[in-house]
Amino acid sequence: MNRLVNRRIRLFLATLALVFGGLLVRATWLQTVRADALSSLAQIQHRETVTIPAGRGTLFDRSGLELALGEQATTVYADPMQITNPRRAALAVERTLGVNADQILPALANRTRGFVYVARQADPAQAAALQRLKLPGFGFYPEERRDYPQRSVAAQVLGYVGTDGNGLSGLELQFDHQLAGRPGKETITKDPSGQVIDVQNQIPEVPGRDVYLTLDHSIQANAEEVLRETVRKWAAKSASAIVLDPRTGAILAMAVQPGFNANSFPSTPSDLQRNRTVTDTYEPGSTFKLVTVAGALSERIVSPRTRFRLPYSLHVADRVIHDAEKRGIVNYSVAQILAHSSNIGAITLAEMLGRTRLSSWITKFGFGRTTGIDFPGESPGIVLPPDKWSGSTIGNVPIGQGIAVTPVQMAAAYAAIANRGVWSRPHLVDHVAGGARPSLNHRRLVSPKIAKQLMTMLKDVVAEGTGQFAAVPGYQVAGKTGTAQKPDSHGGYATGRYVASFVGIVPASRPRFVILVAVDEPRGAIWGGTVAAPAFQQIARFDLQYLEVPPDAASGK
Amino acid sequence: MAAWAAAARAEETAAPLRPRTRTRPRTRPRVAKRELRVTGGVFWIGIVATLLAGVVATNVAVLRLNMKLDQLGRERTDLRAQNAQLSSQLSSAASAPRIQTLAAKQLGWVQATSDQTTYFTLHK
Repeated sequence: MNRLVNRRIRLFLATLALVFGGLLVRATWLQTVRADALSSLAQIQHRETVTIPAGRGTLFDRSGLELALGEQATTVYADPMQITNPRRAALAVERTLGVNADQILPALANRTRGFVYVARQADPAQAAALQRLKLPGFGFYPEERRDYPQRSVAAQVLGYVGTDGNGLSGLELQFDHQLAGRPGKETITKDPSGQVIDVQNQIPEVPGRDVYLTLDHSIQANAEEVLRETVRKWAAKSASAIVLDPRTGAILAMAVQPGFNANSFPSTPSDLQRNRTVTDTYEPGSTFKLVTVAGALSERIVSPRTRFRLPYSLHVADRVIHDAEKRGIVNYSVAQILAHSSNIGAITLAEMLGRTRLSSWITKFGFGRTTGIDFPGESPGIVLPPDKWSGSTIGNVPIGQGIAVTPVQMAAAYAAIANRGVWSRPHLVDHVAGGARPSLNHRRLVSPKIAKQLMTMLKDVVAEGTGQFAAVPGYQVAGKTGTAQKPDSHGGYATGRYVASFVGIVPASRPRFVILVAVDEPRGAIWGGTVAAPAFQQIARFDLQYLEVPPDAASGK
Repeated sequence: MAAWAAAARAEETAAPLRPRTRTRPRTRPRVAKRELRVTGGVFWIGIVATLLAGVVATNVAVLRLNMKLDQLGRERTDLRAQNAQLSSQLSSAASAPRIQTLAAKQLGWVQATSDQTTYFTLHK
């Protein structure tokens, strides 16, 4: 009996040993041979490395108002191989996200693909509504969407950000490195229901830095409104304006019309997206006479009172150049040459200067090279070196023909005269959060005495010359009109196509603003004094009132 | 085997006769020792159980904290999103042209021009 029991026990023990042996072999197999494959399978099921997006920095105007900021959005994607009923899924997408079902259906039904975007940067509430339906094959992840709350205000200056969060144009591109930040990473462990139960390791995200601009949204919006009205009134092709603080070179407004809503940049023609004040050039016409006169005064060839006997027309090489209005021989002082915008007078001064000295003054004023403004794609303009001048060039360049400048170059040149002869680099960014203010780049162009003489002459232009429509009641205004024929593609000038411009300084006794207005191809009138000067006056009136600049005109008029 | 038995017998004969000690008095310390061992065992079981319970409780607490952390992280993201949305709305609402248009349309206000504004110079 005992022997029988012992045998059974031994049998039982042997069976147990066999079972445990089998289990041991299986465990060894799983933990050695299959270990890597199973471990990675487990990691896929339970572990996930998630990228934590870094919030893009905000663009503020000088008053602290947000011009561009990041908003949370949800990107919805799908794995068509996991979608059981594509038709039903497409209808659910249409119902929740507003995406056309017929458009999305082919993508959802295409079982050869494992990933398709359903909606990039969708509204988080709409995406959550789709997520609640718990449809198989749909995935969601947070993404940032760029929002421009002021819509069209400074749209060309701010630029835009692509769907992947990279700056593609304007200040968004120029300061992309500072604005972008650095995304973080997080390895998480999830339970079977997808709930995070542990964070294995984490590299925190570094948010982008905020950028504070010199632009003022009120001044900018007003300038855009004035330009919109000007373009409408004169049926012009476009118009540009710059409002600049001559003391520092800070740009308060940089407006281009027609404009566009920055939030809908993908559907806007690229032509409208350009910040023409920096990227486009134009022949300045008479506003350029300032350089000729400044050169002649600085070289002590003439004084403001030096008089010239000026005929109506003049032969320069193979060309005949005349003044804008038919007249007889006049006896103008240098100041009157500028006030009446005499082409013959300016060419006479240029001939006295000579091509080399005139050319060096053009370079000194910053034409033919970029100003260094903190904006991408700045054009240096087109300035011929003196050795490439033809015989008639001396008859063109002094009056602003045969030369191409950008509006920002011209505004900076006038700002130098307003700032007692010291040129300051025009800039749009005051500072980047956490960084020092960029150093202001200054250089002297003319002596304070010459600058003062030029200011007096420019005041005469508005008081009794071609720029009388620029006068602002209560304030002394200095400025210069410009009317330039546009070049055509054959090397000549197009008939009936002009750029009317005005550059003004106000208040002339203690300059606070340099305002440039350029109107491209106005109809009905072409003169800078008629088309651009009134726009200058409207912009100046608003800005003076807005920044509470006291009047400086003695008569109060 | 026979050699071992012979050796054992030889040892028995060689060893002097010792008085037989009574085993009875030994029973009490043995019982006490056994009781002590049982008590010690129970104590250690208790310690190990407490430690295990502590480990489990700590793990559960860590798990709960992790879940709460995740939830708080989501709340933080949501709040940031709401904050950004509110900032955007505030920025749109504070837009000067919008206020100007509303003031002109709804209240009939007109912006004062620079020549309609009087400035005083305050002397010391």
